[in-house]
Amino acid sequence: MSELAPATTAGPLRATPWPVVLGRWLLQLAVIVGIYELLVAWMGGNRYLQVVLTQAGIYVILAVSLNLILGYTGQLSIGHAGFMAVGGYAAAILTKFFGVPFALALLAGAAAAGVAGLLVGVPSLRLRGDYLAIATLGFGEIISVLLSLIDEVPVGSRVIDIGGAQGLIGIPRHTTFAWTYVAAVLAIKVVWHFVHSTHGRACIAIREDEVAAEAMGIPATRYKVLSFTLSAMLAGVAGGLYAHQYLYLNPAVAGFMNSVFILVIVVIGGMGSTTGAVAAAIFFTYTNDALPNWMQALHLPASINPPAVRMVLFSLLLILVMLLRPRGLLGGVELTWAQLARAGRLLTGGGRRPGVAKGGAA
Amino acid sequence: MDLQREPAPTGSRLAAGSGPLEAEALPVVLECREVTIRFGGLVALSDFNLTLRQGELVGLIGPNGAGKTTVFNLITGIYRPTSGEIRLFHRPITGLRPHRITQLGVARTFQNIRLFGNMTVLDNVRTAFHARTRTGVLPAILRTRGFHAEEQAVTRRALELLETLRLSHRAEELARNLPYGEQRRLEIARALATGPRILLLDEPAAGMNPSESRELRDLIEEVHRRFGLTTLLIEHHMDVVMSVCERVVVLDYGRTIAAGTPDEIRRNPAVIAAYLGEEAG
Repeated sequence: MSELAPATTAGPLRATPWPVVLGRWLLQLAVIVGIYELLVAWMGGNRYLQVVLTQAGIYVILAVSLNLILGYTGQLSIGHAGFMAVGGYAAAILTKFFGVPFALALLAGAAAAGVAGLLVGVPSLRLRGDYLAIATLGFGEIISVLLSLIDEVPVGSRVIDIGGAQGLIGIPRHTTFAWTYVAAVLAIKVVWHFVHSTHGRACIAIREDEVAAEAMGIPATRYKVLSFTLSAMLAGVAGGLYAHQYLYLNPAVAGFMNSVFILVIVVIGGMGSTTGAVAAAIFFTYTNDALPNWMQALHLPASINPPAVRMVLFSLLLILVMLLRPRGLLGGVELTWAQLARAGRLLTGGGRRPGVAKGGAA
Repeated sequence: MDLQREPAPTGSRLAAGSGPLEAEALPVVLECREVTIRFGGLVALSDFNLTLRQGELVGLIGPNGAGKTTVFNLITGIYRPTSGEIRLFHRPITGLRPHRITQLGVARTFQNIRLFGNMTVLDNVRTAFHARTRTGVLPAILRTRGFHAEEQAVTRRALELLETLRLSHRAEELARNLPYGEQRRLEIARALATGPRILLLDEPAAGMNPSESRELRDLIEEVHRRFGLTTLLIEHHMDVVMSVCERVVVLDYGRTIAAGTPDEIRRNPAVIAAYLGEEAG
């Protein structure tokens, strides 16, 4: 697309006039609110849809945040659910036992997950290679086992009951679709803005070639830890939302299966593509929830249970994607309006590309 | 903003510290003293000495495996010397992390091209401005005015560098899709983006045909002068080295076997035996 180059590269050099900036901002807000209104209208009073869409929002946050460390920074983390659990338990304990406001509890959950991220990340990210994968795999399992072994936690003068293996029950209901939607939009914004900045370029450079990145003045360890911690914090927020949606937290939330589910979303959606992660998260959460209904319709024997079928299906899908599109469906590519428009023009088979004319004029 | 800083023209600040010995003796910018590195039993480089003065263009030659790239890896902090000392602007840099050394003003290219393949040509160069940017993570996420201003400054400077290296027409392409010669030029553009005072070029003309390598030779001279650099050049194309370098250091099996002007090197029997003779025969 060399003919496009002059137009696109000259673009960012012109100072954008403020009405345009404001206009874009309002447009963006309108789109965000518009989608929200559409979704709310669609849900209506349907409780099932509300639950599924809220869960989809939570997994959007998880996928987008895992993508930051896995897709952009190129470090394999397979314990993302561990950070989700840390954030979830922290937020739930604060709201249930201490009456902390929900928003504050979510932030505290993020902070707790961030600290856990630092503890895992600092030692394992100093080294090159797949140490992070091993450390995070262990981390998720350790959190899961710890939570199932600990029944009571002394906090100051009182002892609080976090339920051990039975799980933490009686979490107040705070999570609504609106909360989840806003949190997901913010998470996408944070990741998008981070990635499209000098910091994000530093992370992508580390993924591409760590030695070269360091030779270009990028402190690789610092950036790996930074993106890992940010990723963990966002997972912590997702955990908080999850806890106050289901009103119950089980240590298994931190387990391997949940981590793998998030990993599959990111890998299939396309590593290094935020739009891909969002689309895959919504698709997979929906499929995941709808699967039992579909299976019921097929009248399968009782021994074929949804969790087993789920894992087989996801594994098959993963193998297929790895064979056909090894970088994921949208690997490294973002779905943009311009691309959708181009696809539209291709489908309708009409018109010259405006970029060509612009490039020629410039 | 730091970005606006042009690479030091002639190091006035440096000269102040180093007291000129002679009228024409320019300040020393890089010094390797008795640098030795062993990998297990293999001595990759032994007792290597090198003094680079401000503005010099020095060639580093030698047969394959002589230890040339090892010298670069030692200077840039990828390897740590077994013994000896490396001083940059009179300050010991032994043991510093590679990114710190780059921030202190040493940039390099790689013999086996190491571009950020899945990034665009423009982003490869913008990435290398990283250490010269000041916007923190929070302003970047909040998209402050300062963030936008700095992004624009970085983009403008990156485009200027692409212009200098005649890569403007490739700005939006992925680096891995570039032809070989342009990838080598992009390596130089990326190195320059770090704002170096010392540029280490590792076989920039490798794999180029005679006309391409002549073109590259002109480019090296132009960049060297225009950015007021001190340049250390590893190259196998003798015509390139002999025509642009003021001084040449010859390595063989990790030892320095000769050093001098291109004419002296051409006539040096040890060099002819070790290197030129080998090629001629």
